[in-house]
Amino acid sequence: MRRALLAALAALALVPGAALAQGHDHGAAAGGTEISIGFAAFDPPLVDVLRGEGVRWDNVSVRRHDVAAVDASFVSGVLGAGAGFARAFGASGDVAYYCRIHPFMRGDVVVHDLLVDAPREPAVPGRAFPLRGRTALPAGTPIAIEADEGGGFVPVATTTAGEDGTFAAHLRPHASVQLRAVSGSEASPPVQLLVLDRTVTATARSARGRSVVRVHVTPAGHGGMVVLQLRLRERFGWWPAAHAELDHHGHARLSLRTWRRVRARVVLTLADGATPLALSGPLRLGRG
Amino acid sequence: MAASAAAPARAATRHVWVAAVPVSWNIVPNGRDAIMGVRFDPSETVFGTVVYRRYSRGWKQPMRNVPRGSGDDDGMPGPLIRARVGDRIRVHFKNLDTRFGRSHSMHFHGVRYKPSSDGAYVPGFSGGDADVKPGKTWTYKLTALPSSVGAWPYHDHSPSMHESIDGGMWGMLSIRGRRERLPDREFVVVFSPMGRFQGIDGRAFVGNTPVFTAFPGQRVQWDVMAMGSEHHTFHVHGHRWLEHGTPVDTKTVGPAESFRIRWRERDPGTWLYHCHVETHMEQGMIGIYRVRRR
Repeated sequence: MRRALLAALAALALVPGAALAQGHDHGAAAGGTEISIGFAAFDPPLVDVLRGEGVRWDNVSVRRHDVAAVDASFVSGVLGAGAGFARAFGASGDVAYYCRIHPFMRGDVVVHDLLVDAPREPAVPGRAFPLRGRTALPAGTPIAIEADEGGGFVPVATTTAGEDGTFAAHLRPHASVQLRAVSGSEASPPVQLLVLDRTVTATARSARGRSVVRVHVTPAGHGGMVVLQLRLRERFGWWPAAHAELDHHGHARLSLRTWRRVRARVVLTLADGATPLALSGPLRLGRG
Repeated sequence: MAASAAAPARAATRHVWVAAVPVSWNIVPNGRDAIMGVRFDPSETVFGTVVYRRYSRGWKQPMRNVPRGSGDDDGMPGPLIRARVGDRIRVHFKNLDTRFGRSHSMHFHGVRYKPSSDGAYVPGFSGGDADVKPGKTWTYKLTALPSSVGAWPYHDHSPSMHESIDGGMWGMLSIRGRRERLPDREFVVVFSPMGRFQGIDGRAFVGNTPVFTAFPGQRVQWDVMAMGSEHHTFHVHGHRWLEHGTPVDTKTVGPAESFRIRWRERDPGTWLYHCHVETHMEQGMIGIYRVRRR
C-alpha cells in the first residue's frame, strides 16, 4: 500500500511559490491569528503561526484576565472585558503563556518557519490536488514535501519559497496521508489530506427556456463545489455556466436559461470552482 | 460612423452601488488556447483576487456589472457606469475585502470631482476616499461635463493599488452627450496583463475572453482602455471606423488611456478582435465578435 502511495506521489508536479505574479490565493487571515480569552480558557489553546506574524488575544468574557509568557518574555497587563492585546513573534519555537490572574488558564503559540495550508476539501484518487503553504524563509529556499501514511515521513516532492512567502506543489494522491513541508532542520506541523473516491450523479429537466439540474455527490458531508459546464462552440470547449455549493447531504441544484439544445456535464471541484475532482455523466439541456 | 441623436434629457443624479469583493478567478476557464492547441491546468490559471461588483441600493443584492448581451459578467471589468453630460453621479463604495484585509478605493478619469472624491492615496493629504478599509464605505461625488463625453477608466488608487490593479480592480465610465442615444450593444475591452498571460477583461485566448455579439443594423459601441505598463493596439477584423476623418481599423491605447468607437453593424460573421502587438496576442489578448443574422 505504501509503495503504491509513494509511486503515485512521485508524479508530483513542481510548482514554484508564485505560479502567478500576484500569488493572491492563500495566506494568514487578515490581521493575523486571533485567540479568544473566555471565562476560564484560551480558545484555541494552541495556535501555529509563521515567524514574524502577529497574534491577537481578545477578552470576550465578563471578567478580567491577562496574557503572560511563562518565560516572562512578555506580559499584556490587565485586560478588562472587550480589551485586546497583540504581539508578533520573531523566533521559531514554542511560547507557553498563561493568565496570571487565573493561572490554570494556559496556552501555547508555536512559531514555525513553514506552515502548510490545511486542505479544505478531500482529494480524489489519482487527480491533481494543489498543496499550498507559507514560509518565513527567503525566496528561492528549497522546500521538501513529505508524506506519511503510517510508516513515517518520506520526501515525495520539492519546491521553492516564492517571492511572496508562499510555496505550492501538486499531488496525485491515491490514499489519505499526512503531509508536511521541510527545509533543513525546520518542519511544518503535519496536515491531513483526506482522499475520497466521490461520484457525481446529475439529472436535468428543461422547460420554457430554463433548465434545472439536480446533483448528488457521494459520499456526502465533505463540502465541495459543483460547476455546470456547457459544451459551446463559441467557447471552444467546456464553459462554466453555473455553480453551487453542496449541502451537507451532498445535494445541489443548478438553474440557468437555455435558449437551445446543448450538451452539459457537472464537475465536482475544489473551492476554486476550477480544479476538477470528479465528473458526472453527459447531460442534454434545452428543448429537444 | 453612425450618428445617433435623441431629444436632450434633463440632468439626473445617478446612484451606483459598488463593492470590492473577493473572488476566485480563472483566467482560462475552458483550459485552452484553441488557436495554438495548448492546454492549461487550473493550477496555472486560477488565483484569488478582489474585483468591483455592482450591487442594488444599500449593497443588498449583487447585480450585473455589464448590460445583458454586452459581454461576460464575472467581475472584470467592474460595473459599466453610464451617465449623460450634466448628470451627477454618486458612487457608493463599500470594501468587502475580507480575504486579504486590504484598503481599497475608486479613482475616476474623465469627470469632475473635488479632492475628497479623488480616491487617490497621498500620505498626509488624502482622506477616507483613498483608504477605504475593510467594512467601511465612501461615496464618490462626480459630475459629467461636456468634456467628459467618451469612455474613461476607473481603478483602485488606494495603498494597495498595485496588487489591486494587477488583480483586476478596474472598470469604465461611459459618458454620452445630451443628445446621444444609448447604443444597442456596448462592449467593454480592458487590455491588462494577468500574471504570465495578457488578458482582455481578465481572460486569455478565444472563447475565454468575452464573446461579443450583435445583429446587423444595431448601433454598437466599443469602450477600450489599457491598464498596466504596456501599450496595446486595438484591432477588429472586417470593420473600419473614422479617426479624424480617416478610416482606420487599428488604434493604439497606452496605460490608463481610453477611447470609444461606434458604428452601425452591417457585416455578419464571426470576427476576431485583439491586440495586434504580436506577443500580447500570443499570450491571450484575442477574442471573437459574432454578428448574427436575426
